[in-house]
Formats: sequence, structure tokens, C-alpha cells
Amino acid sequence: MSLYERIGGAAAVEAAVDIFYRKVLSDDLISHFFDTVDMDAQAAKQKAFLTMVFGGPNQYSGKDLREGHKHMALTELHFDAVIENLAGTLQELGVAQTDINEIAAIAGSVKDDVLNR
Amino acid sequence: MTDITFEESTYSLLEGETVLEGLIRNGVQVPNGCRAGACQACVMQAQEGELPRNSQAGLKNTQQAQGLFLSCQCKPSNPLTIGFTDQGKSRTLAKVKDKENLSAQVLRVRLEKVLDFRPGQYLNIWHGDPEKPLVRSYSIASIPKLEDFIELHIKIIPNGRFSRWAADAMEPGAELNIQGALGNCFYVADDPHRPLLFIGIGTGLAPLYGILRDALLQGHQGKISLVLGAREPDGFYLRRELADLQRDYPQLNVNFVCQSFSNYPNDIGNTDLYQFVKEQFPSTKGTKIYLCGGDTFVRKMKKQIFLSGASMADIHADAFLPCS
Ligand SMILES: Cc1cc2nc3c(=O)[nH]c(=O)nc-3n(C[C@H](O)[C@H](O)[C@H](O)COP(=O)(O)OP(=O)(O)OC[C@H]3O[C@@H](n4cnc5c(N)ncnc54)[C@H](O)[C@@H]3O)c2cc1C
Ligand code: HEM
Repeated sequence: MSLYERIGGAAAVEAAVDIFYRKVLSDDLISHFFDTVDMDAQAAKQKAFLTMVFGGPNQYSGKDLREGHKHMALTELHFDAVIENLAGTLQELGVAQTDINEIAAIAGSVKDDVLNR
Repeated sequence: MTDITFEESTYSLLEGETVLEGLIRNGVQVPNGCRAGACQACVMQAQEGELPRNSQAGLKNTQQAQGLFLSCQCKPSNPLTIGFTDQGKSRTLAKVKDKENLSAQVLRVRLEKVLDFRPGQYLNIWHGDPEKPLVRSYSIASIPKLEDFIELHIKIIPNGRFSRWAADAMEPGAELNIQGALGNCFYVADDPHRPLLFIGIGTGLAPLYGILRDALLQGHQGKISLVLGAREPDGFYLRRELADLQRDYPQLNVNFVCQSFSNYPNDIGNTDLYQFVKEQFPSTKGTKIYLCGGDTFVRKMKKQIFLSGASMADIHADAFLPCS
């Protein structure tokens, strides 16, 4: 069974998005990136993010991620904050630590693209 | 080999193909993004046929009730007739039946019931020069099952191009060019025991008055709270009607919150609306929320409510964006 299936697929994304979104909105280091006018659209983008790092089906290339994050001028600090909020979300949902590590590794694998390095 | 009909043409889906893939293969342009059921760019609407459950996952129940679905997730087993959303919302003429002031600032307009709607949805009025029409949106306060008209509450704005005309020059019998009904802010009876929280300012009461009475009529059992805010006490309207509803339905509680001035009638609280909501509803987890009124209010309250625990999928909002 794949990681994505193991943690519950689309239903897991659905459960995680509220918790994750609430966490990033409450995190002073990164909240301004996510504090946009259209909260529904923002939540949809976060579902895309979560689906991807959960190893689910997605169409994003490294180039897409580069383009998508370029204007934010993100640093290592921002990246770590996102990973921390992600891990906190998964812990709250009772996801096994080994799965959390695997998810963090998927996120780590696109770090250079997201940070435009 | 399921057939799907789109704009009068019928296409056969291949084995295992999604509606999105099938349409694109046949040269139909459908906006799309993640193709994983997340971004919702590929949302379409079914006019006929049964949708697979997973193709509606993640959509609000109000969207599901209108047959919206994600074409990238949809592998139907029965034929479907589909289109882009809000298609077929052509314009029709509706006569003004009645016009009356609910307060110095709020005009009640009742139109002939010429279209189908759910209380809380809105319609667009196309006004003036057909070459350069003024388009204004107004939310619907009436209940189709109960009332034989479309009721709008229009705030009279001193320099308002449409609202001033409606207040000063529009007569009963006038024909309005309307389009609708639009919007996702309405009641769906999928869980009659969940608490409901309605918050509005100004004529945000129009959709809320519709949605609230719709919920009561459909037998909603859970606790229902209506919180209305205004700058001055005379900004409130329909107070008697709301008091009557509160008397008739023990599950309903209505609060008026006003920020300025002293000497209120004693049923109006004197405090900040955001503070009031924070204190009275410290946790909104599991509550279905309806927010209606000015854009700035909706945005600020939506964030506050979300942070206090409500799920994004349970927050329904109608922001009265000003038009150009
Ligand atoms: C989905 C939706 C639903 C809506 N539902 C309702 C409704 O149920 N009832 C209702 O009254 N309105 C509603 N509106 C707002 C409505 O569509 C118009 O924007 C509003 O009536 C102003 O139109 P107007 O032509 O009179 O004023 P305009 O000529 O457009 O504006 C004149 C001036 O007034 C300002 N202004 C605009 N709106 C307001 C306001 N609310 N308060 C103070 N100043 C303002 C403008 O910035 C402008 O400077 C809704 C809007 C949307 C998008
Ligand atoms: C862990 C690695 C990351 C991955 C895999 C990732 C992935 C994604 C994806 C798939 C989208 C949706 C793009 C779209 O469809 O429009 C997105 C958008 C976004 N991401 Fe990331 N992201 C990562 C890290 C970050 C970080 C560190 C931040 C900032 C702290 C961030 C902030 C944003 C914002 C604000 C958007 C929305 C952009 C917009 O509205 O246009 N992301 N991300």
C-alpha cells in the first residue's frame, strides 16, 4: 500500500487542511503568506500541497513549484516553519511517526525548487 | 463506455477515463489545475444523471446540492448531461409587485416569482442602458414554498446609482431585467442537529432572514443563533418579525449588537461585534456558519470564525462586494 493510501487518501487531506491552515494562519513567521482575501481558494491550494506531500496524485513539476513560490522570496526559516506546522498537524491526526518522516522527506525533496535555489 | 452530453454534443468516455480527460480528448477546453481533486479549477455542473460520490468530495454541501462536481475525479457509470457552472442563468423580466421602507435606510422590494431559487441565493439586476448596463446583485430573503414573491432588502446609499433609483423612481409594475439565482449561501438539511450561527451586518439580514426561516421550516432542531451588528440602533430592521420567530421557535436566539451611542432599547447589546462573537461563541467547532454583509466584515469575521474552530467547508459567506 502506498503512503497516500495508508494515511487515508483524499479523506486525510480533507481532515488535515483545516488544522494545517489554522496553524499557518496563527504562525507569525509565515502567516502573512497565507492571509489572503479568498480563504476558500487558499484552502484549495493547501489541499494541493497536502496531496503532494502525502505522496498522492498530482501534476506539479519542479518548475511549477519554482514559478509558484518565486514571488515570496522564501528562506530556510519559512520552509522549516511549514514543515513544523505540517508535522504538528499530522501528530494531531494520529499519523504514525514513520509516515510523518516519509512525508517530511517528500517535502524536503522539493526544497530547492520551493526556495528557488 | 459512458456517454456524456455537453453543449448538445455527446461524447463517449473510454474505459477508466474521467469526464475531464474525455472532454479534453475531444477538443473541449476545460480549465483545470491539479487533476487530483484539490484545486477545484475543473468544477462543472451536472444537469442530469447520477454523479459518483467521490466526484463531489471536498465541495461544500450547497455546491453538491446544485450538482457541482470535479470533472477530474468523475468516472460516471451512468450517462450525464453537464455544463459549466451557472450556465443557463439567462435573464428574464420580473415585475415589481410591491415596494416599502423597512427602515429609513432599507427598502423592501418584492418581485414576481419568475425563477427558481433557494433562500439566501442572490440575483443580478441589469439596469439602464443595455449597451452599458449597471449590474447589481441582491440577496433573496423570501421562501419559495411560503411566499409568492422574490423579496429583496436594498440599502439606500446616498449616491447609489441603482439603490437611489429604486428608492426614488422605481414604481410597482416596473419591469426589472434579472438573472439568477446565483451563489452557494443557503441551507441544506443534511444534519438537522448541528448548531447554526448566522452573523450579519446591515442588509446582510436579507439572505440570513431567508436562510434562517428556511432552516426552521425544514425542521432544523439544533441550536440556531442569529447575531446582527449595526453602527447605530436605527440600523436594525425587521425587529418585530425576528422577535416573533424567537418566540415561536425555542431553538432560536437573536442578538442585536450595536457599537455606538447610549440610550438603547434594552434588547440591544452595546459592544463590538467581533468581541461579542468571540465571547459568546468561544469555540465554533462543529458549527455551521453563515456570514452575510459588507466585504470587509465578511473577510474579518470569516478568519476569526475559522480560527475559533469551524471547518472551512462549513463556513458559508455572502460578501456584498461593491460593484463598478
Ligand atoms: C453577492 C452580493 C449580494 C448582495 N446583496 C445585497 C443585498 O441583499 N442588499 C443590499 O443592499 N446590497 C447587496 N449587495 C450590494 C449591491 O449589489 C450594490 O453594490 C449596492 O446596492 C450599491 O449599489 P448602488 O448602485 O446603489 O451604488 P453605487 O452607485 O455602486 O455606489 C455609490 C457609492 O456608494 C458606495 N457603496 C457601495 N456599497 C455601499 C454600502 N453597502 N454602504 C455604503 N456605501 C456603499 C460605493 O463605493 C460608491 O462610492 C450585494 C452584493 C453582492 C456582490
Ligand atoms: C514543502 C514544500 C512545499 C511544497 C511541496 C509546496 C507546494 C505548493 C503547491 C502545490 C501549491 C499550489 C500551487 C497552485 O496550484 O497554485 C502551493 C502554493 C503556495 N505555497 Fe507552497 N509548497 C511548499 C512550501 C511552501 C512554503 C515554505 C511556503 C511559505 C512559507 C509556501 C507558501 C505557499 C503559498 C502562499 C501558496 C499560494 C500561492 C498563491 O496563492 O498563488 N509554500 N505550494
